[in-house]
Amino acid sequence: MHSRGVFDPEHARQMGLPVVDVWQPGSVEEVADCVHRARRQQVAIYPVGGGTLLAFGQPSTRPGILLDMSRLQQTVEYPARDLTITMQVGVTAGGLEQILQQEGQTLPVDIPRADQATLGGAVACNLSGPRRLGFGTLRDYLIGIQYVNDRGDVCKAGGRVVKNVAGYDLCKLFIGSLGALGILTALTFKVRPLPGDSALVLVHCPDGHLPILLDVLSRSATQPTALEVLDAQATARLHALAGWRPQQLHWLVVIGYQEHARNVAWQLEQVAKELQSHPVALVHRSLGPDSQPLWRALADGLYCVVPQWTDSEQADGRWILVRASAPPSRMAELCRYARGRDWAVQAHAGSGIMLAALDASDSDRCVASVNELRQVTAQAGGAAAVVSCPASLRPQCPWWDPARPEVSLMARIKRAFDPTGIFNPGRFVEGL
Amino acid sequence: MEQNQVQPQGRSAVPGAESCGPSVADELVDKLRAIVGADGLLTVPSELVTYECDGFTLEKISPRAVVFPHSAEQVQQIVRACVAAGVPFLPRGAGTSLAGGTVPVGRAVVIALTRMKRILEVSVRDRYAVVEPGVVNLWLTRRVAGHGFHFAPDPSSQGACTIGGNVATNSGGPHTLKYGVTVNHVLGLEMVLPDGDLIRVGGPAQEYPGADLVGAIVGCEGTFGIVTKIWVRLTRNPQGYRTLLGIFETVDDATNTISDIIGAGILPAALEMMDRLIIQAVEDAFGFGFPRDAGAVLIIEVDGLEPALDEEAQRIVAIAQRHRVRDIRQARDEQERQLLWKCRKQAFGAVGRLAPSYCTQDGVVPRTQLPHMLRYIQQVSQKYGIPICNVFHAGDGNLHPILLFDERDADACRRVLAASDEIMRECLRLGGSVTGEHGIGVEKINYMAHMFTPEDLDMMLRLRKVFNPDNWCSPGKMFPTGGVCLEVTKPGRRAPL
Repeated sequence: MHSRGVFDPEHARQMGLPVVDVWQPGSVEEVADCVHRARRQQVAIYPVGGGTLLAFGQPSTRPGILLDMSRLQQTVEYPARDLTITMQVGVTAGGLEQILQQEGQTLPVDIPRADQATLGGAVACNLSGPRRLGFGTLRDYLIGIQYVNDRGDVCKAGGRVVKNVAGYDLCKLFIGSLGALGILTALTFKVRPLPGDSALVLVHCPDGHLPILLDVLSRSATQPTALEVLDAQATARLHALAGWRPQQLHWLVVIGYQEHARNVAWQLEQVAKELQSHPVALVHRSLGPDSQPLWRALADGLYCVVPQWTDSEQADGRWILVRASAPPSRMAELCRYARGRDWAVQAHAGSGIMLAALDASDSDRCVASVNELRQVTAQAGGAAAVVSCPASLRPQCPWWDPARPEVSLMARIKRAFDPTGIFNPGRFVEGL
Repeated sequence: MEQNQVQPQGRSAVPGAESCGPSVADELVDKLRAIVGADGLLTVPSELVTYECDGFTLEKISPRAVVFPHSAEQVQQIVRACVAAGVPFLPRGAGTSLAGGTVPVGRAVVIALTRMKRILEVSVRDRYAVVEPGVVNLWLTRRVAGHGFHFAPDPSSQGACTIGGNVATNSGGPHTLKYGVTVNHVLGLEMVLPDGDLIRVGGPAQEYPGADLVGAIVGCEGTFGIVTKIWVRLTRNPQGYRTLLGIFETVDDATNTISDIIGAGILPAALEMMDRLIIQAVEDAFGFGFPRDAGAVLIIEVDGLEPALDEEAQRIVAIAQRHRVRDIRQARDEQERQLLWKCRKQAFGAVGRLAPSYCTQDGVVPRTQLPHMLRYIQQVSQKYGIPICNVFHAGDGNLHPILLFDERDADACRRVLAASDEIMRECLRLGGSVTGEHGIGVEKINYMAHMFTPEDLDMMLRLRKVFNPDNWCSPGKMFPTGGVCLEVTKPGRRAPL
């Protein structure tokens, strides 16, 4: 059984899910049965994995069933020598890694709270982290899906081979769809050999020099697997791990390598040379297996502010977490902007993704800050999504900008896939 | 006439496609001329011949007209005019696709995008470029080469095929083993929907909230709308390469080597195989120096940072030696490396030396099944008395068995179809796919029902209806619906001259 235990409907309600009952299907057939039953009873279905991001999306109003997917735990197929694996969705990201590591393989996408977050949830929320710079995101690895549609049919798309263009790529469509198009039940990923070695270099960068440093690193002869920028608030959790106390830190820049050992060694030397003439101070270096806890901490990063369903005191949360994207050249500017307005900042700077967290105690100010950040991000060519937000603020802080051009198209897809609004109603697009 | 074999997607799906009279059609031609000008329109039958088909020459249909828009606005006007006249339409790039995706089913208007060929923006710092759909794949790589970057998808036709076509078919290529196919390199799209609306999904940033619409549109084979602008990723050139040529006595030794390289956790940039028949044809054409008596050759490339390359290459050599490789050596210099890749990428061109006609399949199997699959193909070849040569993306498990015959021989045609079908079914039995990179088009429509259940297909059709509700755009492609019955009676295509 899953270590998470059973969901309490009361906690779910506090987090914006109007749950009237909890069902725990143990097989694909039982998931299909649940859909049939829910249709008959005219209630909605809220599929939940590890419950690590329950507050992602618009609040729902339609009463429904919390569908606990954590009993779908099977490894459907793992032909390790083909470098593919098919897993049921209730397996946690950490559980998958354990299985893969026995064969010297990995799915190198960082899922925050990997020991609790399920694969199904990770796909539905399109999670990724620092290593997306070197290894890409879930869309680069997900090659097949099995799901249950609105009629309770078990359907599939893609397949189990690494190259396949037969039919539309519905796998992609389900990535980031917040469980609003169907209930994922199994996922096929292509996987990679484990990198031979890894290393992290942490440097302190003065505020004014951040744009220059990021430009220089974008031209580095090395090819970082991760390039992170964190402000003092966001680094708080790294201190103990790195064994260091920051003195008036402006920016912590983390350069990470996961590669063949010879290449890691060469890149460490090379990047040290490239940084020699810059006003940056080496804070810490973490090499080989010793660097794992730091990689993990970076992957969890600012997601640590997201309230957990288990914590009844905190269920409503105090923080708002935004995930913003922009071309990488705009990252320094965005990070400095956000920090200047009291956001805690962690950016996957090489990939142009910024996580920003704000204390939501002052709600009026908070709503204004979110809207401003959204505008600034849009002007930079990207977009911002609210990943987590206290329930009381969610009506005023839509999870994505309703002005985005994709919204009407998404709404049409939602209507086509779920005409009766049974899956996560209201969550994906308002009113649907 | 072959035209008669291909019907539009039923009268309900393409209302009026067959019923509109000459006057309506003439009116449409006048409207199209008003939009793009006289020099942007072809209507004379002799000029339309080129646009009857793509690389899949079995099915040919003369389009009603071919229009060459210069802008998204013109595409919008064209699309609206076609719908108003009750005439279907479809996009076309260079026409190098291989599954009939550009066949103008229903005597559609062909919207040829070859004049929308500007590279609109290049941002090396942010590693993207914005291109119009008619930009040829290799032009973009040449444009950014000076900065040390390239556009990663590298289909063998990259000197001719357009990026719009790559998006439509989600093209692959030898180096997609490590770098991914087209969808992994598309960040955003601008598209004219069949109702004339212009939409944009994605853009210069690497992520936008919500479902991955860009990923769902790439590979739709032109059935969602007309893509008019593409944001693509630029990939940094590797610091170094090691390109190995391994010569094997038998196909079995070569395929076992492939399987062991992947199984050992080595991720080459490319891993390609050619068997004896194709080696001989390539040797006749290019004179590279391949031994004509070899059972198979592997072209294996590892790339990346210099420090680890020699060790990776050595590991591959050791694996090949365990499988009795006759000879394995490294390309001496960049010139030899380029020649090796030229031989591989132009191998299809050499097939004309082997037989008057050929038929290529595009099946995929799990990589560990390659030894079995190649033996199976050999058995099928013997069973039907049809020579089959193999040149393919071995590292992905993506087979391209080439069936050789003379299309004037009716019995040979029948045997080629039966042999192809057996090969495809074995790919499916092993958990694979009938197409790894060429697409379904019109050629493989009948396999969709073997790969997918009616429920699976219904969900795909629901998605198509969101974009293309009345099926005016690229009717008769990809799905066996609406009374389409494509009776394939003659296989494959003529060898190009």
